[in-house]
Amino acid sequence: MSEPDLSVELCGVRLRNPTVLASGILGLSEDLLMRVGDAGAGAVVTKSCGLKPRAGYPNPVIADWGAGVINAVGLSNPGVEATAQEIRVAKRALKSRNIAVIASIFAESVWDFGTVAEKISDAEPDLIEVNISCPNVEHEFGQFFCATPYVAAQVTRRVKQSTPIPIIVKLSPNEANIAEIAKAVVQAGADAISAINTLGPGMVLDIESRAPIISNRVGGISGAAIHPIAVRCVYDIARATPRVPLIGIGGNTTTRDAIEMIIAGAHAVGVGSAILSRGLAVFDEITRGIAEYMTRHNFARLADFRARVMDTAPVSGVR
Amino acid sequence: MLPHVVKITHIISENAYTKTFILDDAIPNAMPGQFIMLWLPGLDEKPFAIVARDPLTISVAAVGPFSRALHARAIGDLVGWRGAFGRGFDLRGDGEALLIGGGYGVAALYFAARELRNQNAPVTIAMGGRATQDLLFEDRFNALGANVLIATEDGSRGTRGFVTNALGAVRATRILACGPEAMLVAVMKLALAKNIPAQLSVERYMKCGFGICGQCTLSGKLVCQDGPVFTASELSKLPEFGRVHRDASGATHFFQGRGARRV
Repeated sequence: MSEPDLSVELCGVRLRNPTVLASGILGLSEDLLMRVGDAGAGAVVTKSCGLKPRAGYPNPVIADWGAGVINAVGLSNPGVEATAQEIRVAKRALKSRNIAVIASIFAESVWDFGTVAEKISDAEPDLIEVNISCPNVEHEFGQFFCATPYVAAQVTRRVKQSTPIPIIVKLSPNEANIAEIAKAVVQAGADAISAINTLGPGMVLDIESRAPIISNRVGGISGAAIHPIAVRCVYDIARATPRVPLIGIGGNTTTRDAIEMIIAGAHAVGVGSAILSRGLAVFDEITRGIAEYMTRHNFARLADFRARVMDTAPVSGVR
Repeated sequence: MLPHVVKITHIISENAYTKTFILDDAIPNAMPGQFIMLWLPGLDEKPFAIVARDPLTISVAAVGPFSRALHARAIGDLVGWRGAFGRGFDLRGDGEALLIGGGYGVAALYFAARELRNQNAPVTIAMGGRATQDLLFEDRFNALGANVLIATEDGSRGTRGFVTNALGAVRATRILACGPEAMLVAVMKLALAKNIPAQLSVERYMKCGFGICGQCTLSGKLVCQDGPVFTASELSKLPEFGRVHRDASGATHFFQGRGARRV
């Protein structure tokens, strides 16, 4: 059998493999985006940028408590203009290597989401990821943009009207029904979905001083601890919006985690916190691991096992 | 790894604005040039070079809100630390080592000097500051049997001018340096011109300390993980070195004046 084909198409953009650097990890400068691309990622996502520069919260903004990672960075970013410049440079370097550059954006109002999208589009990122799901920053009405299908759809519509570039809407696991939100953003024009953002917020305390470890007191949870929840969310979304490209993110640490995500319905797999324990080699290791799995199962393409969760009989009643 | 939260057991005033803090803990595997993230619970967390392993010791100049808050702490107060992080100095090899330190950068070199003296390597320390009151650890280096060279910008002690003017004829086979970036640039040029292997410890704004946030990027190298110690030849290939640093938002700034960072 010939080599399995690991490439994947997201909204007309072809990735050489399904691994994607998750937003918020390393994507601070063009050099770092290029370094992650060179390490093997199929696509790289910038840190989320907003209308104006933000310093974020004081340290500690992130802590590894052993079973997972908690963070509240506070959406620190140098502003959309600086990020646009970073994307221009990174794109020039990564285009020839078939590595997609995805711009992540956030805003504090529905209107500003459109303004940021318009400004970032000037740098021509391959795709735009709309971060409506950061659990650490509340929006204008004291509620998250992903909290209701209505507001999530409003943001999506506003961004869609502001840019010709395909948009990915990033969803949160912290709402009651992620499938309903997925349907709403797709109806409003989302070209793709990514899920999940961090879970929570959670809290980690120091028992000696009795202080919360991170400065914001509470933060989003990532890492291996949240992977089963991410798999369930991806499964739910894939069934609710079956034709929409989906990036499965959340605790992908090993090859097994990534394959599980694809079986649940993901077209591509985000990798973030795993870099902490496995280094940048994790992209290449996961890609090679998926190839071995495909060879072993005689799968020629990722689509041969994507969204193929075994249909088990529903359990009725408890014995 | 969560921070280890321990008591401060000793506080030593080193000069007008620098104190040494000895913690009720040890960090047995730490190498000179590596750093810890020091946490003041409820306030902030910053990187500091390790000055000694056992007991864990750091020296901090009061130059910003965090370091001033640390200076206000007393013996018995709790602080948190995590580490050791980063790539430290490589002390293998032999021959005389020339250590070049500016301001509080001298403290980080003391750990290296002690290890080198344990290996019986000859050590020269060239330390610089704006004035006599900025000098640090002179007695400690003397006690190690190191040759001490001094430069002050106001000429109140030693050679007048920058520390790189005080070196005279350099006989060393290796150079270690820690200090303001403008000094490091001068050391890098000197080392490359004289073809002496040099390792320089670089500072950047840090958040995570363990290589995933990207905040401390130096032309794509992570100062927290690939550094903070880089060779002169590595630094000569990084266009941001000596020119650009980033603030907490990630925005870039050009170095001004002597390139001192305030924490």
